[in-house]
Amino acid sequence: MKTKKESMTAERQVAIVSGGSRGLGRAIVADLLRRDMIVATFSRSKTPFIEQRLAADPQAESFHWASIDGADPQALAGFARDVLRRYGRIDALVNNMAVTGDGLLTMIRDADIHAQVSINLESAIFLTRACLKGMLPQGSGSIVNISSVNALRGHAGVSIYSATKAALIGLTKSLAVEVGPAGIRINCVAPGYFDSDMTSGFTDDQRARIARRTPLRRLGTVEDIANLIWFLLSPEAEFITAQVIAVDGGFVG
Amino acid sequence: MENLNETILAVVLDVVQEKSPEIEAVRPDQMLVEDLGLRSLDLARIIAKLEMKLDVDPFAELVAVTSIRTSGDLSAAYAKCFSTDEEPAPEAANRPRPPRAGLASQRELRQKARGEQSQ
Ligand SMILES: NC(=O)c1ccc[n+]([C@@H]2O[C@H](COP(=O)([O-])OP(=O)(O)OC[C@H]3O[C@@H](n4cnc5c(N)ncnc54)[C@H](OP(=O)(O)O)[C@@H]3O)[C@@H](O)[C@H]2O)c1
Repeated sequence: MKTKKESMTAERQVAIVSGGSRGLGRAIVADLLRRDMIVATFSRSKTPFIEQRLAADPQAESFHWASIDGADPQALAGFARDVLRRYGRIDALVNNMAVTGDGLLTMIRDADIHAQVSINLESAIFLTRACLKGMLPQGSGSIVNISSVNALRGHAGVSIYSATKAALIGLTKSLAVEVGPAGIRINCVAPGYFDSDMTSGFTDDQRARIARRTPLRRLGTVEDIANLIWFLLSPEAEFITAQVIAVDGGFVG
Repeated sequence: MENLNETILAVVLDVVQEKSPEIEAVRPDQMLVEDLGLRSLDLARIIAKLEMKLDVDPFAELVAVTSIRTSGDLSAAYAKCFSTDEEPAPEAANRPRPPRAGLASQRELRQKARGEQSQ
């Protein structure tokens, strides 16, 4: 069986990033492209970032995007199959796409509970399964699930979101045991709060409070998180699997 | 059909040889676990390789993966995907379920009983 290092030298590596149109996903896509990976991503809507990337690479030699609703398992499987057909392999997967919903459990609408469980958890499961079908024959691959500090420390108003993000940790740990013998690694990154559309509703006061409670005294940046993701995907991390690593300035301690 | 069987046997042999390079050929009637020493992850790899080659996954809906014990069972399962018959053929998937769960080896079952795999 080829080691990751051997397969890295053979062909350009192919990564799938869910929800790469903005926020952290966008930063991951830009970072992996800069590191000469082929990157395939999807979101429901096109952003100027996606338009720019598509215009810069009309033959889709390094960048592929599709408009997909991540709540549709068949669309996710179809996307992974399409990437395999186009580029012949899948080396990396970052399960980044997520939605959040604010509110005390007794006040959240059923539809919002379903949406969070479906997008944050079920979709990650379906996409992972679809990508494993490419990784298993190769005998190599690296998966990073984006969890959250909310999975590690309780906060009022985000119980469903926290439940889905904690579930990704369970998925990571068991799947790492399952597919490790086939040369596939799977890890979780748990970011602290960083600026994106997801946190755009925070007031200056809330931001200041988070910074005060963070030993390193600031919120995160998408680059802080993308750096670790690259490390986990790269051969530098070839003996690291089943781990949860927080990038939170010490927030959860 | 000839081709399908050959493709399946070639993929099975490929995976078998990763563990037992001394095995030079596999037959449709050999038991994947008992005779060829495969484990459930090996079967998952065989099925993923076959999906890439054949573009179908009979185990998504048509056939229970637990019914697969030999390469011949695999052939029957894939034949089902390519069959135009409405009537299901009396093949692997329709046999009574084997007493052991799927491809779990005795060692895996013992590990499970000791609680090493899950609680
Ligand atoms: N922001 C934070 O402070 C923070 C903290 C900890 C963890 N995280 C985690 O970090 C990850 C990225 O968060 P972010 O803040 O960058 O989020 P974001 O800015 O809201 O971006 C979410 C991405 O997911 C896509 N997406 C959402 N729903 C989708 C659907 N149904 N189908 C397809 N695509 C969908 C969005 O595109 P469309 O809307 O166009 O579909 C977008 O590309 C998430 O897993 C989040 O839970 C964030």
